[in-house]
Amino acid sequence: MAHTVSRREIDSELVDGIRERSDTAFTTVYQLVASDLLSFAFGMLRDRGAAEDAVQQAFLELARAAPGIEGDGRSLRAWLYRSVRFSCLDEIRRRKRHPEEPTERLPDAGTSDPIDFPDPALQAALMDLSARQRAIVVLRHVLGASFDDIAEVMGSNRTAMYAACARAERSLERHLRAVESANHAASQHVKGQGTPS
Amino acid sequence: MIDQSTTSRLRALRIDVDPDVAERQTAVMLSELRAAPLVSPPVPVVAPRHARRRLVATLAATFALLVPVAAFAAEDTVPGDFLYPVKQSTEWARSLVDHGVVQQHRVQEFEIVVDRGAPIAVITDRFDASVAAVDEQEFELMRRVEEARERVRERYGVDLAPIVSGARDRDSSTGDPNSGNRGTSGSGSESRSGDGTTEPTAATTTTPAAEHQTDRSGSGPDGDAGTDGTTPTTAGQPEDAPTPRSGGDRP
Repeated sequence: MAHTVSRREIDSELVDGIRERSDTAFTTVYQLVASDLLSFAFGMLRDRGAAEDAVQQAFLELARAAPGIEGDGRSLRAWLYRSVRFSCLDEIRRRKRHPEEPTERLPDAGTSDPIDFPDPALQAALMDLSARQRAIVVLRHVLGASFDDIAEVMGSNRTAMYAACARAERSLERHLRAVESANHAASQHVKGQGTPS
Repeated sequence: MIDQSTTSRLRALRIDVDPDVAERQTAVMLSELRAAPLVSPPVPVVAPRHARRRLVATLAATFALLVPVAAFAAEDTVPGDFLYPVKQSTEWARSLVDHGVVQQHRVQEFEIVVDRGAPIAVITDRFDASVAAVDEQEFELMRRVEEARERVRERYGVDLAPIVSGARDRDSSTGDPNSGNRGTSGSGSESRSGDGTTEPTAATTTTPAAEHQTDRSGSGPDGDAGTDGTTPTTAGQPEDAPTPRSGGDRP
């Protein structure tokens, strides 16, 4: 059964608890945002193991930086998203440099489960986008983030994010159509081969 | 704009953390929290790599601002000053589009060291540099050199070689009676006669500075220049002696 968390926002009390290095505050914040962060990382990497590593890394960085954390709950959430995003970009760069090299950790048994890869055509189309476009689309459409929040995570402004999102959506639709027509052609080919002449 | 069905499909990509993974990650996080030092240095609410990128951008912007400021501050420097290498760099760049900048700078440096009351060795060095740089057709620059040279004569009692003496020599050989008046009147040209011999002038001194000048011009303290009462300047040298402003140095 999947671990479910509430969609409660991080309030100022929790941020204070983080600054004071409270175990309870850390655990609560983890429960509040870990799934969102995982979905974000998974959308970026299409690899559940690597996505979990990125989330873990974000919370380890938070544990080290806790006393100096500033801002409110929204800032803290954006801080975590940024940390995950940078871990994902590092992983993407590492894969480009060493495309043959397997990831350090083996995928969990559940990785091959179709539930872990819902809608492979859509995910393949997502992977055809640039890392920046992918991040924007995942934040906007998978996690339902506002353009202000996206701007804070991406280090940009709301207007730029609105325009970038529109471009990313057009690219996604184009790639999705290409992937689906390729899949369709492949399935027709398989059917044709299976039909006795 | 993305269509509704794709939006729904994207929403379905959301996944949750596995309970076992959540438990393990929480334990690792709390363990790190206890191991971390109690007082961490304050960090901004940005991820570390983002902070590094911002630091690089800040440094680049600072550098971009400092370069013109340093170039401006280096305008009035002379050799030996801290910012003189900056002036040399900007001078090289500016000389690509403005050939007069090198001459302007050499003359300006000569004026600066004279006004500062620098040691005579520095003054003669900048004088040589300015004479080597200034073209004889640059009457305004030549006039400035002559004026600064006059100040040297008044302050140090040293008569540096007149800047246009080469031209005078050349003109005198052609018999042009007016050529000697170009920016040199009353500036020490009387120390040198038309046939190259030297005559005592009001600037003739035996100050240590003058002795230094004598050393630079090739005559030792016990040489003729120091003993026959002639002006201890390059003007007192034989015709074939190398002078600090030999015509061959000019561009």
